[in-house]
Amino acid sequence: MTFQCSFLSFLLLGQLVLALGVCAVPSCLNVRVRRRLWGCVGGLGISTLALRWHLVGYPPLQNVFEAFLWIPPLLVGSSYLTRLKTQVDASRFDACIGVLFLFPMVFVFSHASKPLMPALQSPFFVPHILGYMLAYTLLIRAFFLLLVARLRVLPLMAMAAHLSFAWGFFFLTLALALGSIWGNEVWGAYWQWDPKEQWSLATWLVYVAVFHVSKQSKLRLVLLGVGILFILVTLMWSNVFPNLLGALGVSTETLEFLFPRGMHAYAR
Amino acid sequence: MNVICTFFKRLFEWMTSGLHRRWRQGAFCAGLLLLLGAVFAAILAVPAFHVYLKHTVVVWSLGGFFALLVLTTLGSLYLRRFLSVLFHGGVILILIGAWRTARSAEEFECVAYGLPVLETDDTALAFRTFSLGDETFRVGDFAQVNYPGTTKPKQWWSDLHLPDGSCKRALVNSPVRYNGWTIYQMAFGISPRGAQPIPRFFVAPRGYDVMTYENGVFPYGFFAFDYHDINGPYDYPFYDPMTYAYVHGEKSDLGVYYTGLLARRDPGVVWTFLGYGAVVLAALGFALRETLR
Repeated sequence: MTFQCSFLSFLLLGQLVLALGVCAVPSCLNVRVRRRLWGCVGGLGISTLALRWHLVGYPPLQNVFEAFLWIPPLLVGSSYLTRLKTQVDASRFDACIGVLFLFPMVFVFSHASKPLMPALQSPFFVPHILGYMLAYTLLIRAFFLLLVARLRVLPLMAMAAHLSFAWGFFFLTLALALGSIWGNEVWGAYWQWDPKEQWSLATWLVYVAVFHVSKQSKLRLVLLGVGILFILVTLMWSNVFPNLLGALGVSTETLEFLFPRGMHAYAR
Repeated sequence: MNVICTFFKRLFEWMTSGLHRRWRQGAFCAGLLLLLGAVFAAILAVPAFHVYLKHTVVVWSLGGFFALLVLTTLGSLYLRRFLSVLFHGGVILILIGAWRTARSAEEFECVAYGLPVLETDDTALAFRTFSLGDETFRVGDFAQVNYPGTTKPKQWWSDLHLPDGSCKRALVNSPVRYNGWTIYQMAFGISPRGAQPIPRFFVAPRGYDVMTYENGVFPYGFFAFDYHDINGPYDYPFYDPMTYAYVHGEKSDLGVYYTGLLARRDPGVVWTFLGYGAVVLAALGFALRETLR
C-alpha cells in the first residue's frame, strides 16, 4: 500500500477525504453542507477524469484503475437524480460506496499508463466499459439503499433502490450485449468461453433472478448482495487477483492455471 | 387432428388456470433457477471444471432452460405482459443463434508468412494465396503501425485481394466482409528465430489441437461439431513459427513476419443480435416503467 506522489493522486486523495467527510458529517448539521461536500467530490472526480484523459490521450477506461475513476462522478450524478425523482437524500450512503472505490484507487492500484492496444481502438470501447461502470454503480447502491430502507422502514428509499436497480439492470444488459457485439467485430466471435465473459453472464443471471422475486421479498435483498459478490469477482478475476497473487510470490504457472490470461488479459 | 387440438387446448387451459395466482410462485422458482444457472456459469469460469462440464452438462441444461423459456413466453403472452414476452423471446432468439453458431459456423485461422529478408517479392506472393470454398483470396502487403517513437503496436493491417478483383484492407476492429465470409485481422508478429515458410497459406480450424483434429471432431462453443477440411490435409508439425526457417534449403536465423487472419462464416449472428436487441429493449422498458410508476 503506497501513495504515488502525483497531481492525479492528490486529486484522488481530495475526493477520498471529502467523501469521508460526507460520511462523517452528523445528521444534525444542515443537510446542504453534506450535499455541497458531495457535489465537490463530483467536481473533483470530473477534473481527475479530464486530467487523466489529457495525460493518456484516450478515454480513461483501459484498466480497473481508469474504469474506477468514473465511479465517484457517476455516484454523485445518481444521488442527484435520486433526489430529483424520489426526494430521498442518499448522499451519505453513496459517499460510503465512493470511499470503498476511492481507497484502492489512491493506495493500491498502479497509476501507470500504457498506449491503447489495437483491439481497444473501437467505437464500442467507451459505451461497453462505461455502461458496465454505470451498471455496477447503480446496482451496488441499489443494495445499500434497499438495506437501509428495510432496516429503517423507509418506503421512499426502497423506491429509490428499485429505481436504481432497474436502470442498473438496463445498463448491465446493454453493456453485456455491446461487449458481445464488439467481440464479434474484433475477435471474430460473440462468445468465447472467456472467464471474464462467463462471470459477466453469471452476474447478469443473478440480477435476472432479482427481477423474478417480488419487491417485498427478503430474498430480493439477498440476491442484490449476491450480485455485488459476483460483480467483485468479475472485476477482480482477470484484473486484480493475478496481480495480487503475483505480488505475493505465486508462480506464473500456477497463476496461468488458476487465472488463464483469456481475452481480457490486457487489463492486468 | 381434432383430438390433438383438443388435447393441446386442454393442456394449455390447465397450465394457465389460476396462472395469475400462481404467477408469483412460478416467478420465484424461475428466480431460484436463474441463480442456480449463475452459480453454474461461475463454476464453469474455473478452468479446472471447464473441459469436463462444458460440452455435456451445459447442453442439457440449456435444453431444459429453453423449454422453460418457451413456456414462460407463452404464459406472459396469455397474461398480456408484453415486456416479459419481449425479454423471454429475446433470450430464446439468443439461444437459437447460439445453436445455429455451434452447428453451422465455419471458422479458419489463416497465417500468412512474409518473406524472409533476403527473399524476393515473387517468392513471398506464392505463400499468400488461400481458398475458402470455391473462392480464392490473396494477401497483399501487411504491416504493423507503431505509436510514434515506440515499438508498441497502434494498428495491424493486411491488404486482401478478393475473388472479384477488388482489394480491401482488414484492420483490427474493422474486418473485411465478402460473400458471407468475414475476414478478421487477428495478429501480427515476427518470429524471433525465423519461421518455416509454408508453401502456401496456412489455414486451420481455430483453436485446433492435433489430437482432437485427428479424431475428426472439433469442439467449439456450446456443442461439438464435425470439422470439414476445406483445403485438404496439412502438415501440422511445420506450423510452429518458432522452428527455424529454411531458406533455399539452408537453416536461417532471419526473422519472418507473419500476419494472422481469421475467416468466419456464422449464420447464428443475426439471430443472436436480434435477441440482444429484444432483451435490451425489454430492460429499457422495465426501467422506464419503474421510473414512470
